[in-house]
Amino acid sequence: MADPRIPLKNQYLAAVLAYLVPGAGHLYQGRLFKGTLFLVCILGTYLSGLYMSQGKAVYYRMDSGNRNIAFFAQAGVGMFAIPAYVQAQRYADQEVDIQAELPLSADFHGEFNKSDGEVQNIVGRIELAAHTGDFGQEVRGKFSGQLISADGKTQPLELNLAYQIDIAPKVAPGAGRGIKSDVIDADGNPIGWINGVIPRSFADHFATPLESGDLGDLSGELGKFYELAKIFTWIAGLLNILAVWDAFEGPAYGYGDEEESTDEVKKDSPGEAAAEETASTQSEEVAPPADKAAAKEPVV
Amino acid sequence: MFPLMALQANVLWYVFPLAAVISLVYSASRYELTERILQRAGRLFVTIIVFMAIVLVILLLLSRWL
Repeated sequence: MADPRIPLKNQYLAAVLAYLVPGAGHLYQGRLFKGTLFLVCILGTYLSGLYMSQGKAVYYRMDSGNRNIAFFAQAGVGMFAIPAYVQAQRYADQEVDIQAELPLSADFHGEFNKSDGEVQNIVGRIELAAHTGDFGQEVRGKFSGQLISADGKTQPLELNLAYQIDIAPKVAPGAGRGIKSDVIDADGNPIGWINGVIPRSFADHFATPLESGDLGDLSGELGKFYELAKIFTWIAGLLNILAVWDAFEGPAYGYGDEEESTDEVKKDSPGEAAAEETASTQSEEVAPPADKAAAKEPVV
Repeated sequence: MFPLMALQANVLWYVFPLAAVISLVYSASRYELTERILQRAGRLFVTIIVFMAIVLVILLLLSRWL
């Protein structure tokens, strides 16, 4: 039973709010200090972990071989756990079909690999659209941008894209989405291919499941900081369970203005407690209690 | 002397904010009064740091002698 001085209001709503956003339940209850403390400490720790891992520490994946058991610790903070679960469903359900995304227009940066073996950096914009060719529906498009030479000079470049166009899944880790396309001349003859990335929206890459290859790359890039980032998110998730319970039921030990119990004092300093006990026994022997002394006095 | 220790040194500093966060949140979930929370959190923080320092020293000595 919570202390009546603590305004729990609707404790179920407070618990849900506290689960979704650390500290939100307490702020709803008007417990400003604790709400701010939980918000700063728990959310700060969680966000630090996400920042250190480039947003890839939290994801839901339960298929054998790639199972992320640690998610159950991270799931203590709903504002990240729920999107991670939704993203896992989107990731599993998607079909990589470029036709479904046409027409597609996006910024691009990557390489232009010419058939003679020369490779040059290019940056610009690609536009892809459906086209009915000799063999039915196909994808064609255009790259418009700049060709960057080795000495840093740029010159305008336009390329026709056709035939084999491969694109990475829409929902996947990473802010860049890989794309590769054959390049043809005006007569339709292949003259090379482009290989690079187009942007992937935040909603499509945040908290998406990692493949074992992604994990290897991440560990190679971040090293021990990826492990540290995961630990931060685990600890924050587990700490929020305490915060949720506090929002629902109030503090576990009481309001905090109670005297510390005798047992607690004894546990803290057994030597002092024993000394106090001896001293009290001795004082009883030297000076008997007032009521006993009064009883011995003769009644006149 | 302890090359591994030198490599890991920067990571070890993260124990301080983590211990502080754990102390504050745990104490805040036990009491409501601000003063009591801060007092308990301070004690818990020192306990955690001292405990981990002892473990660190033991591990360092073991790695040196074994």
